[in-house]
Amino acid sequence: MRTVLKSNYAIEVINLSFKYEGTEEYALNNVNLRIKEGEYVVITGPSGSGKSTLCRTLNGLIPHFYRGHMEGDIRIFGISTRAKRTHELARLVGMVFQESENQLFLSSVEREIAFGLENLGLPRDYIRKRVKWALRNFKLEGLKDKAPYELSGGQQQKVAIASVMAMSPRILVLDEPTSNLDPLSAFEIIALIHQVNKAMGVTVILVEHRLELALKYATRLILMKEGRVITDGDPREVITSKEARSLGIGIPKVVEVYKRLKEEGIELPRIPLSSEELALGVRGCLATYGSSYRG
Amino acid sequence: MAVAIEVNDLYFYYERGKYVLKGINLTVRDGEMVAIMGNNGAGKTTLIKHFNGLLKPIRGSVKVKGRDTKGLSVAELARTVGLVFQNPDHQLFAETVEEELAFALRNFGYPEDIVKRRVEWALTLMDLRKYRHRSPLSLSGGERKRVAIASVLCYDPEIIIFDEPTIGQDYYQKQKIAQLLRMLSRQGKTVIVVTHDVEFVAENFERVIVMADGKIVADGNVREVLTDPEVISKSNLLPPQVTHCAWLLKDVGISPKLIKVSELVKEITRLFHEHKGI
Amino acid sequence: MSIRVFEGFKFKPKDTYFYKLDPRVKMSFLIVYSILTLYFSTVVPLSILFLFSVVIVVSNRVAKEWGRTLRAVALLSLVIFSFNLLFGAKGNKLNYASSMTLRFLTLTSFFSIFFLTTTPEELSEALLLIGIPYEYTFMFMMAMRFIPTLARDFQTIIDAQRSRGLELEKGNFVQRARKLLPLLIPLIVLEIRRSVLIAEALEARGFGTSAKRSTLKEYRLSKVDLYLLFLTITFATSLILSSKLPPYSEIMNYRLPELVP
Repeated sequence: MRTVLKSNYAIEVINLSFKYEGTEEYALNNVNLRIKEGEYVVITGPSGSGKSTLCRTLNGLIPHFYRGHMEGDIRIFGISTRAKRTHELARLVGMVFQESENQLFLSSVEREIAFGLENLGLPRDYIRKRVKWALRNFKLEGLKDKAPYELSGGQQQKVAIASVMAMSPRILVLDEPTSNLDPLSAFEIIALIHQVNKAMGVTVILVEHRLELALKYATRLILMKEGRVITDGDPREVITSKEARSLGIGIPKVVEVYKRLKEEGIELPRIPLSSEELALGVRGCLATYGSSYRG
Repeated sequence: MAVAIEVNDLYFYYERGKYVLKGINLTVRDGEMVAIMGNNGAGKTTLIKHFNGLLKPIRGSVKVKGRDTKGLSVAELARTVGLVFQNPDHQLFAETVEEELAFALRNFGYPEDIVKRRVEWALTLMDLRKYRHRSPLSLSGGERKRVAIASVLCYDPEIIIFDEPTIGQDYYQKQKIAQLLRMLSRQGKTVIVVTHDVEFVAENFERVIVMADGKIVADGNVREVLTDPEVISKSNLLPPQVTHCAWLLKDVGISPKLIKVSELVKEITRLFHEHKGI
Repeated sequence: MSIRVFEGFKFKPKDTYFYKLDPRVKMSFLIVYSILTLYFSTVVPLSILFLFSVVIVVSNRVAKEWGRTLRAVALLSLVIFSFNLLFGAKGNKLNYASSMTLRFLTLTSFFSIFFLTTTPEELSEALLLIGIPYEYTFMFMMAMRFIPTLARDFQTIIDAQRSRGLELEKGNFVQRARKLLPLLIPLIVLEIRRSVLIAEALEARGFGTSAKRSTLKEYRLSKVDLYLLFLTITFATSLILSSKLPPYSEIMNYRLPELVP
């Protein structure tokens, strides 16, 4: 296999299959993906479909931390993850996990943000600069001396994201970051992730069950089942596909409304991914109902 | 109808002076199915821990089936009140799933023949028969959750409380939980579910209690409560998606008190028909 | 002895003088006074040391948390006292028992002061500065950081099992020992699972990349640090000297009267 030094894609997953050591079943089955820089990809699927496993192949945790049998290849900006350990890839791929408790290690927000940079052995001045940037950018200045346990769940995840982004990765992978959060905090975190994607051009890979919150910013939706990619494409097309329906994922209510309205003969201009989009669509239709209402 | 749980002017703190519950009053009747909602820190978990005696009031009282909890131990109350904790890993320890399910029954001193019968029943109910001889610790996340639930249902308490049962669950698993809750309700059990999943509550409950900052800010019909913008903002919740849409379209004539997909579809269709003059 | 015993060892942020000291100084303080406590075996110097620790506790406003720990070990102190009273090897049993108990309380006190006012990272950095390799200091720091987490998990496990009818107060010694299984197994399994998740998060944060780590903060000894260091040495020296030189040595070596057999 020819090694490509520079690639058009941020992430390339090529014929990837993986089974954890000591198991019979493959957790990932011949997965193929190509993701360009700047995309905002949402991955969803039932429990056990391989979403978390796939995340861990993107930063080298698989195969280096989690042993097993891996076939195929994963390339990050052309670099194969087989050859690089997770901490070497940390400057390219950052990862945020579900439980904030297990990814906040230090007793102040400031130190937490500095931790990754310290690990990389970067010069102190540079670390100070990056910490300052992260505190300002994520609006954590007021909390900089607070201990993680003094913060709410939402604030903790914010700190986790800030700590990872301080290392300036070009790709941010988030494995169900809002699972333990109440809806309002989840909403704020999703908005924050969107900001990271939009304002900083960071490629986002987000594994989520809460599609009613996560989909509206996505450029791409991937459905997984039993270790395979079932559908991959434009979020609006994928969410209304028959695969989505049969997979048993949480289809946002607004999409259900869209589908039922269509059956009634009312076709909104666009498949809505949020309540705002639905409202906008309905208003638009009312204004020009003659052309879109098929009685 | 008999009263299952009665809370009177309940005050509680963990640290002196920092009240977590500030004057809670509520009544749950036998056979009711209630959701308790609120942000993290609103006091939901603290409240339900009073229902099986894990916590005792600092001021006020909690009565379970007419008996004041102050004089009762957790073990005594646990026979009547089953509490399914959020994370099953906080309780699984036995060598086999059967042993795990038998644990509570044995603690309560039931004879072995009854234990065996109830374990069989619970295994079948939660579809765990094929795992009966396996260690619960070796099962997958979803399976462990089922074992935890089964181990509580096993001893058939009259009142069953679930603490955040839908966190981290996929759509299919949530449907199964909803089915289970409905089944328990049909059997006449009093079911209390603590959750912040607004869509789940809108779909499956008739009565909801909303808490914020240690107080109850709303207690009533799901539709009335979850479509009330004041309640939603005071409690830092998000409205159900359908409700939010209804609010955004209030000015064009959509009723703001919608919670179901079918209702919104009907309203929008009606709106279009009106516009067309039909 | 309840979970509360940990409260006197958990970092509680405040801004009194002891907090602001260089962690190396704090650690020297702890080492010197621990050694002193082990050096003396009579009630007078040990009481002085204990009272001295109380002064530090009060002047740094950590009395509440410190008090909780002391109360939690009260029972253990009583056991130590009774045990030594009955089976103490040395001649004067009352003196020996009192000294041992005081020693225990004083050590607990000094360690509590240290851990209440030092964050896990400060401790880790202090150890690093005196030459202990990063792998060990980091391990230590993480252990400290996760003690409160473990305590919380343990409390939840106790609640969960009690909710299933487990009665911890009842039963004889053997029965109660068996009841620890449903408490310890979930705890161990939970924390093992957690440690894997922590490890992968550390990897993702670049842990282990560079042998030469940088640090955000630099430590320089300030005037207050040197002042306290000086005081520590002076106080320690005077204590030792006074136990050797008359007439102070009379008081310092005072032994409690023998109990009537």
